[in-house]
Amino acid sequence: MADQADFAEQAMPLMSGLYAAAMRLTYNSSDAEDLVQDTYLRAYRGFGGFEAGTNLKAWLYKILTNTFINTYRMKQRRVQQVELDDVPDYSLYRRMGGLETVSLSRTPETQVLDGMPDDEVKLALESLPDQFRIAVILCDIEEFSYKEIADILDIPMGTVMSRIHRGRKLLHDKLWEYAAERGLIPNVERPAAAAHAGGQ
Amino acid sequence: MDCDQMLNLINHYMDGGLSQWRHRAVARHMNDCPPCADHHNAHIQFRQQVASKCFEEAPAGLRLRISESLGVHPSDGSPLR
Ligand SMILES: [Zn+2]
Repeated sequence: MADQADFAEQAMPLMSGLYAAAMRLTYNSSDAEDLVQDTYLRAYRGFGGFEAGTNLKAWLYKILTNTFINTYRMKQRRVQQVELDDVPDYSLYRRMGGLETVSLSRTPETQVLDGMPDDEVKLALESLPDQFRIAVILCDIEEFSYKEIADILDIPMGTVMSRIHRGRKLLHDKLWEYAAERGLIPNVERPAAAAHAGGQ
Repeated sequence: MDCDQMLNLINHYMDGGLSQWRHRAVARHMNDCPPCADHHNAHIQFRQQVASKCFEEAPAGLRLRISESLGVHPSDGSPLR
């Protein structure tokens, strides 16, 4: 049995990561603070049953995401239905015009992102439907493995992968859209969707 | 493995989600194909940029409230007594 006295020392250093995730999930600091506080209190109460030596960070994120899904999302009453079909992974690559233009070591897309204010990147991530946003946060920001994410969200590995990959694509597209609006995109081929929207 | 196959696996490769055999095949391809290697680097960079731009520091007030309810020091979570 894990000792509750150990809990704080292991869990307190993880707070900023949990808070950042909570901000992206709830969209505002007061809900985010409540969600993180809830998470710590629930985890503390349950820590006796937590097996020492297992992954405390993953367990905290499991409590955070469950609490969010069961409590805060209900409150927001957002309707978010997105098809779960798998998408090819290479949209970024295609968009940059194929092999020839990819041979730059610093690609336009990472340059573009460099020039974007933090707040817009946050907004772009927040624009993703819950299931994709959560998957991207856990994988790309918190660096959990597919297996850990499958355990945290209680879903099969295949679903984890398709949510991450789909989520990344949605995030790419959103960031690209913001960057285009701000005129941050240099002489690179526009994505097909945007080009079509432009007429012809 | 050709470039198209490689690009379809790049997300899985980056996340450590490939079997050992496939992981090695992707790594070999990138060794011989600088554009794919660059592309992989761009993916990794992109990921790191998103992560660093989405960083948040937990507010001091929250840290204080939580440490109070756990009866520990807010700085490092060590016991108060
Ligand atoms: Zn290649």
